[in-house]
Amino acid sequence: MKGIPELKNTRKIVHSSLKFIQEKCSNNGAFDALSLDDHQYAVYTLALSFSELEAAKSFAEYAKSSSDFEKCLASCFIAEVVHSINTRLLSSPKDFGAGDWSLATTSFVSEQLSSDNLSKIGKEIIAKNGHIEAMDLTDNQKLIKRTFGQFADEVVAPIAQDIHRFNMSIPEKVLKEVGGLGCFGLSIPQRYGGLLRDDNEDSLGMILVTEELSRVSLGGAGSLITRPEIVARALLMGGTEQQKRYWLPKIASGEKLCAIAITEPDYGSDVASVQLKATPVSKGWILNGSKTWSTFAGRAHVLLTLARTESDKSLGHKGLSLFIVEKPSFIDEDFEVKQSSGGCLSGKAIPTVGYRGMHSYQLFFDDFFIPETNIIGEKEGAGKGFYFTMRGFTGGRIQTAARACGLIQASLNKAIQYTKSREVFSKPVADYQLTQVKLARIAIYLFAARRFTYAVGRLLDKGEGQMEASLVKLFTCRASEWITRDAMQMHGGMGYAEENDMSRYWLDARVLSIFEGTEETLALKVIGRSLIERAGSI
Amino acid sequence: MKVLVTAKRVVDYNVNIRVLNDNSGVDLNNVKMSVNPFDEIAIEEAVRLREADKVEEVIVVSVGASACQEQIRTALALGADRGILVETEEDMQPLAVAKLLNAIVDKEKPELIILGKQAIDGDNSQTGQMLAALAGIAQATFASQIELKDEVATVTREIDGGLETISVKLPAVITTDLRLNEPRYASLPNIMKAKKKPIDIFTPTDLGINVEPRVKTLKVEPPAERQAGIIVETVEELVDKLRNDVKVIP
Ligand SMILES: Cc1cc2nc3c(=O)[nH]c(=O)nc-3n(C[C@H](O)[C@H](O)[C@H](O)COP(=O)(O)OP(=O)(O)OC[C@H]3O[C@@H](n4cnc5c(N)ncnc54)[C@H](O)[C@@H]3O)c2cc1C
Repeated sequence: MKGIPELKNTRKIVHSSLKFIQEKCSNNGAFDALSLDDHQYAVYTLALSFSELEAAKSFAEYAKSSSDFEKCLASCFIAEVVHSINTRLLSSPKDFGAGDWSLATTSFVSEQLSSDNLSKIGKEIIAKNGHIEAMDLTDNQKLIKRTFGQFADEVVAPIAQDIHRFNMSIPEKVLKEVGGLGCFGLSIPQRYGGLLRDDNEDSLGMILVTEELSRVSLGGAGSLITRPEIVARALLMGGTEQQKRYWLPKIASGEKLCAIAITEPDYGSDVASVQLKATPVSKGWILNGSKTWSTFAGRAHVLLTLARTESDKSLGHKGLSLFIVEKPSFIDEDFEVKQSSGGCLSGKAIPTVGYRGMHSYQLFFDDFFIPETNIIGEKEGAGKGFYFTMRGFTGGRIQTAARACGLIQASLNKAIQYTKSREVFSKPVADYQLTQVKLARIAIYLFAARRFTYAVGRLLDKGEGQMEASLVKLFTCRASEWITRDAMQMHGGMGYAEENDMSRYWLDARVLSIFEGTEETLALKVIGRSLIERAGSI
Repeated sequence: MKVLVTAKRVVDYNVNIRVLNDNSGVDLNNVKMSVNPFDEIAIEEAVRLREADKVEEVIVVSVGASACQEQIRTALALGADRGILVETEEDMQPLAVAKLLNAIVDKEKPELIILGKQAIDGDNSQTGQMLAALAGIAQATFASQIELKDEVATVTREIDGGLETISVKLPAVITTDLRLNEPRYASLPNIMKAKKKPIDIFTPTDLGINVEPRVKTLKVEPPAERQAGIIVETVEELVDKLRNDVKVIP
């Protein structure tokens, strides 16, 4: 695929808007990040638009050497991105600066987005049953995808809907098998008992396994890898050599299951302000306060817990440290751990509408003792917990993008399968133009989401891509929402039935834009801010 | 003892097979390819024999284009020790494959050769039998159980009437049926390890075999679409339909 002028033009529109806002946020010639809050709508919209642009870029790059059908999907996606960004940004000069409306749409865009083109794509994707094998995977990567696809279909899929409907905890058998196949070691170097070659990073294995497991169950399998991913990344960045040697092999083998306890009842998006109090005592620390939404905290043996080790509140995020809290594993929705010293940790699962299988807990720490060896980085790590957490979150975000891709693929497959067999007005639903157009749009976004996820994975492997991890998370998770909605819609009443997997996909997709950084936090605080800060230099 | 197993590259069983517009074959663009499931069973059996210390080495062979290395890697990840690719772009038919395998058998001298009873693409069910004939050794097809003892393989075969148990002297060719075992999932560590296992590559010319196809494919067509069924209320109605509408009973 050659450079598409429309895409370049839209990129220009986005960049000139970024500069427009940067100028508005200048104070005596210097950029003032605080005044960004006066332009939240524009910043948010630009962050979204930029995530779409980047998705288009990686799709176009891939399509250069792919099949004709994928080229066709890529062109259509680019047209969609160009069209939606242009209309968004050109409609309000007050927010985005004046742009040239004459460039808003072209024959390329209208041809690509015509019902003729879309229904043609729809028919093809229906004929392919939604399966398109990526052309740029190595033999090993294909094998990983196939193996975990099969495992997901044969072992997880049969119990996935029951886990959801009856709010079950993931069966021990599944945990054992997932661990036995090596999934928990995907982001851990070989020298610490994991799978990563010591000389190079490879996120793609983790992405492929996550996608395949999430395709059958987000809560029952696809999210199992998120936690070890976050803990491993944080430990690798901040842990002492001894801590890495002690913890990483146990995490990689699945002997120690993990959970993440960052969010508190009063602080979610604003991680830098968390208040769980850590007080130094002889040989360690005692924790007091509460955490919430700690997913899998019952089953986990290890809670990665962010706490305030400095009493001086003005230190903000520099007063935080990251702890490894050990506890026994519980399958119940309530648990309590009592220490001989009198300390106590209790947990209670919060009922949720979806994302079931792992349970997310409220946690209460009451004089709970943690030995000094369990603070990440030990003495060196004190006050650096926020940074280690953020490193963990980067891993969590790319992993979440892969979870979204899995859910999107599931919805596409399910919608194709159902619309082929269901007849309305004496014809299969799939034979109607409207269905074909809808399925085409889902397919286009699926492949864009997947290409973008793989591209960011590769970027992270090179030690770059912190912001891109947020971009891809934002893009894929948002897409999974309207896609599960459309796929559900194509099922008619059956899509709303509790017994049908489709209703679960829809409920599960909703959580993706809430955790691992809400879409607003990512758009405003991570993406928007860094885009505008560097707008002058692009 | 050495075992030779096969890993044919076929379109994955989940894929909706589509005939090309010009009827020259089926569409392989962006299509997921796998190891023939019956070959997977053969590989699993061989690996289990090695794990039980009845066998020292498992060698996997694939015949076809360079892309077949992917299937060899799969077998290596499942536990085979090394691979051999006979690389050719020709349309491969059972006799040619059997001849190539026979040449490999000559080279490697395995005591046991386990193949799938058929491949899910061509459904020929000929290669194993032809290979046994060419190599002049015993064969036991459609195996659902294999036991090795003192140079003899006792094989339970799935036949039309039920099960038949035979013993064959080694070396022998065995072809697998569905119920022989349930192949494992390749674990991630084993997938990584498979990267380092060796694959030797030969061409048919290297092996001195002429693989020119003997059967020419004139045209490939999709099967006729099945008509929708109906639900009948009573046995009488069923009999009536069978007799008067479909006319299959007098
Ligand atoms: C099912 C589930 C599982 C979870 N698992 C975990 C876990 O394992 N570990 C863990 O630590 N946490 C977990 N979380 C917590 C999750 O990360 C938080 O819910 C998330 O960070 C948002 O925090 P909050 O809920 O406090 O929302 P708030 O921070 O209160 O946000 C409320 C709303 O305000 C928006 N907002 C935030 N900042 C701004 C701003 N500057 N301007 C305008 N709007 C803004 C938010 O985007 C959101 O829409 C989980 C959550 C859920 C639902």
